[in-house]
Amino acid sequence: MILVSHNELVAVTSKAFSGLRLPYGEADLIANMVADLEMVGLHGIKHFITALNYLNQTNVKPCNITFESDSEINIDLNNESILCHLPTILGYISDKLLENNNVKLNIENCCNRWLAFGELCKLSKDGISIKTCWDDFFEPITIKYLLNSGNKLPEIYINNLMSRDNDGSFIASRKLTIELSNSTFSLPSAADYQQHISSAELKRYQEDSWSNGISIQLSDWEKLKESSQAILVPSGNVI
Amino acid sequence: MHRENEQEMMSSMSDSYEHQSGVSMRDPAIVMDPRRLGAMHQTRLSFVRSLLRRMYHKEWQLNVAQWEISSQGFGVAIYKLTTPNQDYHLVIFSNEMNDEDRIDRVIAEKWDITFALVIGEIDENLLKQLQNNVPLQEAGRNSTQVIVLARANKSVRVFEHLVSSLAAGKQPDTAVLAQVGYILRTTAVYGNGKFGIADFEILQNNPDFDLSFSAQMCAVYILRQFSLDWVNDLAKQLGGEQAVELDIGLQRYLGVGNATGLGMAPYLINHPRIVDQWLSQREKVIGLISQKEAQEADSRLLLNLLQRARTHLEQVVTIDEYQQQLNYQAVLDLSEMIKFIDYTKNQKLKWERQIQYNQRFNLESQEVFLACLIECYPEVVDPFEESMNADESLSIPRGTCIRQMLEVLKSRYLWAIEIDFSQDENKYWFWYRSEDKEEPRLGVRGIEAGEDKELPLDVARQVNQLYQVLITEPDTSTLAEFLLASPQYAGIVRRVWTLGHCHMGDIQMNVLAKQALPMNLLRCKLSMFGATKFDPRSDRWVRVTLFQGAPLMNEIHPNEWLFPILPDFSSKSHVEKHA
Repeated sequence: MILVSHNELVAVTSKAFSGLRLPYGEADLIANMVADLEMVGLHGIKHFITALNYLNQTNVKPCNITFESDSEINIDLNNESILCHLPTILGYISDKLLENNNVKLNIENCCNRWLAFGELCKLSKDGISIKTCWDDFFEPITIKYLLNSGNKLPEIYINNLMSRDNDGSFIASRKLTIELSNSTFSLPSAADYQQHISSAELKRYQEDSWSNGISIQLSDWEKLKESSQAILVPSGNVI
Repeated sequence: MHRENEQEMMSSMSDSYEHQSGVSMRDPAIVMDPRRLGAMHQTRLSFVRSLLRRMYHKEWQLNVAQWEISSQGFGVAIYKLTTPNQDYHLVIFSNEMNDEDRIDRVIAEKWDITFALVIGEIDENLLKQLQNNVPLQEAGRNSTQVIVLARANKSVRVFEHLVSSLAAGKQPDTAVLAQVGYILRTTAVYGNGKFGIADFEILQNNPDFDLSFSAQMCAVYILRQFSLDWVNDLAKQLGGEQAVELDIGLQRYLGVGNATGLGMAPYLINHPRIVDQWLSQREKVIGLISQKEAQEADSRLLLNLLQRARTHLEQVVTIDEYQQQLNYQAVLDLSEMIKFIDYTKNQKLKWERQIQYNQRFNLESQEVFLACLIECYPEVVDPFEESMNADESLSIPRGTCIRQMLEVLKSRYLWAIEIDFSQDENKYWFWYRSEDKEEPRLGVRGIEAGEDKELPLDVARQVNQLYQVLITEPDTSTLAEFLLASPQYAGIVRRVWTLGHCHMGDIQMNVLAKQALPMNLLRCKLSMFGATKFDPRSDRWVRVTLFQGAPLMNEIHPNEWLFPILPDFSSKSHVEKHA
């Protein structure tokens, strides 16, 4: 394990993303999305390393709205990472809350949904409450975030996924549903879930990360650093 | 110099004072002009100054906790800093090295001195950890107990001259000191989480170092004390009974050198709200003072400072001919400004009138005048030191439409919109990071390799492109709608909207232009730190001094120490007295 600082993590992630030379996505925002998740102990770096597989020049396109009403919108990301698109999508959706009290966003065929964490937390600072849920693609679990306006960190609820295919394997989905509201959401009973990660628990982890550094696996750090080297130019080269 | 540009500024001055948040401030086109930023000097608001005031008011104490320095000057020294809240230690390692390894660039791998500012006590384990990592700098790892990590090289000439003179019982030749102005020069002073050390976020709740860069400045200030103790100690070890201590006036005169290159420039582009905050606070101070009547000011202090500034500029040694010329002209200009002060006072005018009058002179002297004037109003200036930190977020309010964005672009970014980027000279350079320790560098587009990895520091070009696209869009559409379809503009949209609503906003510089001078960016930041004695070594790196002229730790005071000048040691008896 290695202890790294928040600023170091943001700097390295930002360089790693910039090194991909993608047409979309803001390196500083994306780096903070990764760091925000890592700081609360929810493995932002591992998710970003996974995301690197989905981020490449060929499949990055503006997002495709497949359905839109005043209170609901469906967007298809064509199996792309949410990283490049989520900030602009949330900007668009939160505009709709000026006219409506509740708006539902369904993002179909998207990857790296855990990394939405930081951007959703930002919305609550603007007086918006958020309810988010998705089924994990790699593990048979379903995840729900609840973050009421003014709160800095969400309540996270996790259950084992019941839906199974005929052969017994779980049905993997790449959908992310985000409900935004000008009112607050009522919290479910934690007893109804197999795991409840409270905002207080996340806060404790976050404070510890600030004070003592972020503890991450050396191999993950090395991978991240290696990716960050892509922006570097060898010395003394002339065309 | 720049007579035609001064006229432009003169003509815009008539409408340059406008009411913003209760304080009249100059137009950002004047303040954020890179040539003006490149003429800035230390002011009372600079970080070295606010640090020393805090040290005085809060009665910080500094003591040597450990001194294991050999007669060759190598070993470990630890200083203990005590504040009302906490103890800190500056741990200094002095290492032997070959002259050929002593380079100031970030690509260096060995240094004469490496040091770390640490929160709390130093036990054996921590010292061992520091010993194993601090001398390695970027190649080492440190814990969050470390808040500053830095290194410095000696001015070999000054160091050897001082030690040999003092050991022989003589004060040094002041001409040798005046050439350089320091014993040690730092080549990097890292804070904010670099290489595992504490993030600045943690310090924001620390009443000692909650102000930007204050921990870094403090580490450098203690290093200066070390450099003086070091030469005195070595002289004593070498000369024994015969040795003398360095004259107090000369101790004050010596600061810490700093060599700064292109690496600092991207900071100013990548942290626009910090730069805006610094310059906006400074402008508020100038705005408030400019409304004061000149006759009420302490004119003796102002005149003394201006005269001292003239002497300082005459004494500055620089190899850069352009800077020599600027300094020479500023000395002449300041005489003219001094003459006009009587008129301003006798006519019972406000300082605003004098500042207007000064605009006929070069930017260097205008900025010197402002630095001196600011010094005369501590009661106005000092409260602003608490508001130099900035919220760095860039955002767009919900529901913002394209028409509103175009208004911001036309009112605040005309300087970028009007650049013709089809002309090669306006996109001559590209910025990139080198494989050599990730050092930021400039390459010539189409000639040097690396353009495919260009750093996105091209704010003017991005703004220009954004404007060209937005004027073709329906202006009632929202920015959110536009960005959903064209997410490639998201970053620049957030920046323009946010900075377009800040008092001073972006630095008005196309960093790709052939004539762009990165030196202006370096000087802006260095002067906010409180650097003096600007000595450009090329258009890409500069040597300065920090804390030159500052009070020593045992005589610390909250008063001014602007524009350091060499103590007058013309009489032999003075030198003998100290001997």
